[in-house]
Amino acid sequence: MALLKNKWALAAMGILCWAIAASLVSGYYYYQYNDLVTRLEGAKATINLGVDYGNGTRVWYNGTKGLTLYDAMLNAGWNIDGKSYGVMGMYIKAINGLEESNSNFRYWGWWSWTDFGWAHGGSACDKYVVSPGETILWYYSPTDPNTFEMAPPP
Amino acid sequence: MVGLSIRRAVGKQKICVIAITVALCIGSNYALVSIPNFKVMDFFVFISGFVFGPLIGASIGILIWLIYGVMNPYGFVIQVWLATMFSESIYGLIGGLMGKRTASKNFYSNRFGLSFLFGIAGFFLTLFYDLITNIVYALAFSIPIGIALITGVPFALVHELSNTILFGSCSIPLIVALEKFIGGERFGAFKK
Repeated sequence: MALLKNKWALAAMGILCWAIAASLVSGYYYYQYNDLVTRLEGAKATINLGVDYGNGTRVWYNGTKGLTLYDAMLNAGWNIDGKSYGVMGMYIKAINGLEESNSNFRYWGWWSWTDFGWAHGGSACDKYVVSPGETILWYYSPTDPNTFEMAPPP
Repeated sequence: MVGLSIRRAVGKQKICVIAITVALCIGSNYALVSIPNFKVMDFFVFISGFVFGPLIGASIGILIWLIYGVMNPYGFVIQVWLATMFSESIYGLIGGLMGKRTASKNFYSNRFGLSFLFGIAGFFLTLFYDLITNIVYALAFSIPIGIALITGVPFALVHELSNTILFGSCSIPLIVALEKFIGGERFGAFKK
């Protein structure tokens, strides 16, 4: 067999085997990724999302879809400036150009509407999975300089 | 009468070889049933073809699935059964053709090249086998062929990689052992 004498031909066939196997793996993971994204799209909840700039302006984005609160904020088309702290999640520093103010003790915080009024969000927005029909408001909250307690939205 | 004519046409020795190899393959399949897609059957069919010729190799492939396919622990679907029978026979057929092409080769001086070639043959034969059986499975269950192929990739890869390693590393030792102990078509054992 002439093939056995030609080492380059053997090497080419070996590389072809590797290329086929690698293509199969990448095709499989591409399909799995798309399938997961499609499933997650279907799992997105519709919420009532609002932003209160603390100056009497409150804008609602009802019917916003999202898997997490951060996802919903992006889907609402907000301009967000934040910093990710890994597993701790995303810290929001500015929404739609309005930045937090250390001198005025005003920071962004999100609040969820309950039967008892506004309840402060307990986790980072990208870690919070929203529920269908939930009402969430981002509020440019005045903060107590001593206790760092945020005032709830009016 | 029919049995007698088959015996005359194929020969007693060949019938024995076929029967023993088929029994060995079916036994090994049941022994390895808990490991999905890892089978030594394909390797044995290929080697049978290589040593005893393409006709015997293909016959062994068909006969194994004729029995194992009906008593398959994973279930029975006639279309898939026919596809596996056909695809398995290709191992024996190609093994036989490779046996004829390499009959004049010295296995010791070409050991690395031949092992590599056997490994590649194992990969492509298994790729063909998986392709055919997955397509037939998709058609039998009305599943889109693309999805059936892509979701079967992990199983197919295990099958292909295990066969590549098995064919590449075990072919020459087994062929040499068979040559020493029983000979074969390649070595003139069936020639009068």
